[in-house]
Amino acid sequence: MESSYKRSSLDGFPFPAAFVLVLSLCAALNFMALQASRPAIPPPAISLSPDTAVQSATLLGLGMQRLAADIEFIDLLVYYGTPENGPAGGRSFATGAGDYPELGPRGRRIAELDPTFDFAVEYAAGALAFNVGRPDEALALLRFALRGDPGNSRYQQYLGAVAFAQNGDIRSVVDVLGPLTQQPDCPAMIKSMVAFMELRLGERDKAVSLLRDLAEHSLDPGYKAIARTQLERLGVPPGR
Amino acid sequence: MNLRNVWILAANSWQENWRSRFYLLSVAFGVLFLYMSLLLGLLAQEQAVRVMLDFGLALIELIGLAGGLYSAATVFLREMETKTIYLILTRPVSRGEFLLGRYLGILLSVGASMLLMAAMHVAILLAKGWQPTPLYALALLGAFLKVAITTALGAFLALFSSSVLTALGIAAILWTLGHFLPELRFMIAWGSPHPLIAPLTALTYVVPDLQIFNLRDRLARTLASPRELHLWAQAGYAVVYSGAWLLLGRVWIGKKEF
Repeated sequence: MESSYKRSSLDGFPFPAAFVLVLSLCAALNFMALQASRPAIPPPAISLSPDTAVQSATLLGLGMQRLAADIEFIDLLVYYGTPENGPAGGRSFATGAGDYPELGPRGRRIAELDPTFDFAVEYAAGALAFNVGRPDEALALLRFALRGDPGNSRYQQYLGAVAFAQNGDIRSVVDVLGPLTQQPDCPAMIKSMVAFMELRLGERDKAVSLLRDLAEHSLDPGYKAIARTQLERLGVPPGR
Repeated sequence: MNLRNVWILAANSWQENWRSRFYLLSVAFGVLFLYMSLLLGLLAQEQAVRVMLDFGLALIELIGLAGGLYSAATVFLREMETKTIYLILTRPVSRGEFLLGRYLGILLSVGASMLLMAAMHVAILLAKGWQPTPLYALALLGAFLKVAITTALGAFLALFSSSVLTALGIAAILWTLGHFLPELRFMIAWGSPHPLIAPLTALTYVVPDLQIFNLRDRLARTLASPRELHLWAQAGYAVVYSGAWLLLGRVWIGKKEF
């Protein structure tokens, strides 16, 4: 009995030949797309932590490079937000001082995963340079991040600020970082640090303005509290 | 090929899917995301919006992938098992029209589901003070194109293997490899000579290069215009790659007697 199905010329086409044709087409497509693919993260440059290696690799395998950097950043916040000397906290925990030996490597991992994540790099570099007293590590991190995102002028400004800080030139640090504190995505830690430097330089009004901004708008409860306390010390109403 | 037949099959497929799991999945996403965003917002502090943006886009893509791949792996086999394919193919509908119609129906369902999820996502982001950018739409488009390619592969694998699990498993592996292609190429270039290098090299030319669609990872890059993203080239890649595997699926079912 003759079939009533609608036939086409493809019905008689040999499958192995079609398979080879499709593979050739895919190869041609991938060859043409080579330039558009992202650059590889070269294995010698990857400094995965034993704690987060599987997590980062899984997210990379799912094509979620930015999310992997985000999660590393949250880990960094948790790490730097945890007192080093047990739950009671160290003597200097409130000011962000301490050893925190993982700060540099963690910041570098974020810059490897997403070199454009400048907030995270600035946060880690700022903590290294101004809070835990390791400006060399901060400079190394910023230079590394700059290699991944060469056009990033903020990294260059931070490099300058850290170099000035190394020489004890607070005025120049404030001159370089001051404009950055006016940008909406400037880390609260940097704003707070610049505010304290302004106070040391006798620029009370500028310091109060920064502290008020922190006390009213910061999403970081730690620096919000520090700003409020400092404003109270200065005899200024902390606002909302 | 009769495009009217293709459209009728696609619309029918879309209606069936929309009445069932796609809608439920999208609503579930909304609720889940609301809950997760609260947690992530607390953890990421000053970068809450960025984390919520990335997390939401990733989740939209994964749910879209799950929906597309599952549908592709089950729809054709179910129609063969339940013999409903006989009802369709005894009408003046070719096998190619059937395959393309069903595939486009799945894509319509996935696209609508992803758009619904994106609407919820954007609403939450706006409430958190996010500044909208057209790059969001491009990131979503990139995710959809990735899902479209993987769905086509899933459809072929299901038809070829006649096994839902095999199709899902291999497609998931290809999805992962497709994102690791730059690293695979790097390993091949720098690795020592090994008998596995040749097949590995061949693999890098066959596996879909899904990284080129990962526009969400380029959200922060300075882009003068979407033209720099080569959108037409990417769309062309997705259409040709998906079309090639669907065509192979069509040749394969041409051998079957229904």
